[in-house]
Amino acid sequence: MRVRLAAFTLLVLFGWHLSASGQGLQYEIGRSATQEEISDWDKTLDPAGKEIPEGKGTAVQGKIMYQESCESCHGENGINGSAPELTGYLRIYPIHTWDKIYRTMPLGTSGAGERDIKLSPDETYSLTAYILYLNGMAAENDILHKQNLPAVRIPDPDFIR
Amino acid sequence: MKNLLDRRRFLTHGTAMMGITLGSIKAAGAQTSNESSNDVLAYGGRSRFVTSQRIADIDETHRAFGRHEGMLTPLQDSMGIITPNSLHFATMQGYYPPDINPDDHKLIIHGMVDRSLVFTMDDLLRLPSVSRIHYLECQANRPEVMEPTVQGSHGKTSCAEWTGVLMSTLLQEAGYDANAKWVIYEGAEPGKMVKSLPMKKALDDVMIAYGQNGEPIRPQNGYPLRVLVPGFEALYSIKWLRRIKVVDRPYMGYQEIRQYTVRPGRQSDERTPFYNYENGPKSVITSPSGEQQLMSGPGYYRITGLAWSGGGAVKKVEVSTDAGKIWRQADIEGPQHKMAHTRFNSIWKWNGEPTHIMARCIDEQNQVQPSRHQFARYWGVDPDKLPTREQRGSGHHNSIQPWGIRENGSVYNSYAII
Repeated sequence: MRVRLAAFTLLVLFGWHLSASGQGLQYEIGRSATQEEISDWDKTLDPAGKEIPEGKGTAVQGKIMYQESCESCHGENGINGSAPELTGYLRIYPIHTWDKIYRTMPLGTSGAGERDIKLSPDETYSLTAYILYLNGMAAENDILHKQNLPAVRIPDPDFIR
Repeated sequence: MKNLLDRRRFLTHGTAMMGITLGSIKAAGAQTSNESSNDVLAYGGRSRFVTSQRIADIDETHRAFGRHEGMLTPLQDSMGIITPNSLHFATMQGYYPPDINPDDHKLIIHGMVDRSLVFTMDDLLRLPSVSRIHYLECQANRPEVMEPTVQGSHGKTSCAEWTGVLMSTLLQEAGYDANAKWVIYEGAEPGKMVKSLPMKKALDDVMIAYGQNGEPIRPQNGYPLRVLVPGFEALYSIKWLRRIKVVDRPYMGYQEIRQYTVRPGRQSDERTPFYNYENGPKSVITSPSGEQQLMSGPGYYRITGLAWSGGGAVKKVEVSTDAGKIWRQADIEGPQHKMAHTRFNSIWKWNGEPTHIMARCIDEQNQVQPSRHQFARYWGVDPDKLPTREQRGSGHHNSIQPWGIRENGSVYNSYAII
């Protein structure tokens, strides 16, 4: 009995403890995440664009990649494909177009939703530049990068649904 | 009890919409007796005489891609408040549900936390759990002038008992920063949907669910893990959950900015998008409903339906059988859980004359479900053009759904008339 009580006391003292932030009981379940596995998934962009990775690209470069990897679904010039059209699809900030391409394109063929190809920031800048170009929001040789992407505005705000 | 309503008409209609046949169901009935009893023993099927099923919710954006937005629950056949898992509505954003092996699945929680953590499904099963009955409703679930049936207009809501861990438990386990005011979370599906949620709600009653009505969540509903945000538009309840990030501001993820925000702007200079949270008080008569038939002529019929509210429990439901002139309190059948479907019934003696029947929900905050005209006034739009494109963008639509009864007993959608 005494042994069991002692063991229980030890459990209370060392097995469980209050967190530093005073948020109550911790169960110490779950392992620490590695920096690598966090950065592999942590690709959502804050609204101000501070979290966009460095890189650059132009519509001319993007068009080549588009024709190789995107056109079969999205169609020539972003229209008349089997996948959603890419013109008139932008909403408020081109940063979201960047985010969508970087996190989800091209769609994977594996059932678990993981992609076969993951795009680099440069490739994503190029494809974003090409889509902006298709929507009349960039010239074909404009270099798109971390500093100027958040500043791009769509020409007609009333166009937004 | 005599079968009062003829569902055959509806089923014919539903089958045509789906573009598939009921052949597979009938074939099961034609199997040898040994095979069918094995099926029944291993995983119970239903009677071959029960044929209620979901129908596809076609979205033009995805139609060409060979994909559909989701599947609609056959509310016209529903009983009680729990939706069977096979019939739970599902919205998939045009993507196929991922085929996730739970042994490989992991949930990362990171951002403004003391410890970034990875949980396996086994880890989550070791944590304290809760089971709660809650509805889910897509923000696009609304009366539609052109939808003939309740399944077509209101089939994007269902109700289940969900089992899982409270999000607050995980946040405490990771130790969240006192300055963190929001969480964002992401699914593992091809579209990697992201949603922002205020920390206050995350710490209140949000679940990280792995169970649905006593079994693992179905793939279309987020297997093996999903978020369940009680009372909020279902778009908050991200499926196939793989990541929670603790942050200090809303993120306006791609789908949020494209579809899931309200921009009141067109008429004003206001261009700031904002989120909707709770669904308003809402109800719908599920039977008799559009395309059904009062088979027995004048006499007593049971009006039955579902009511729910993002504001809490349903306090009462009122039913009118004279196009909204007189409202009588309906009987509540069974439990009245918070943010859950609540079943109501009202026995009605039909005199054989054409009329309109409808229900309205009053929740525990005394919020009353609005009529079409009240709803249009609130949004400042033309009631004859609901849902308008401007209002559609806001999602939220909880106006009253009337059903018209013709002299011959046939039931039709009279939303445009009342």
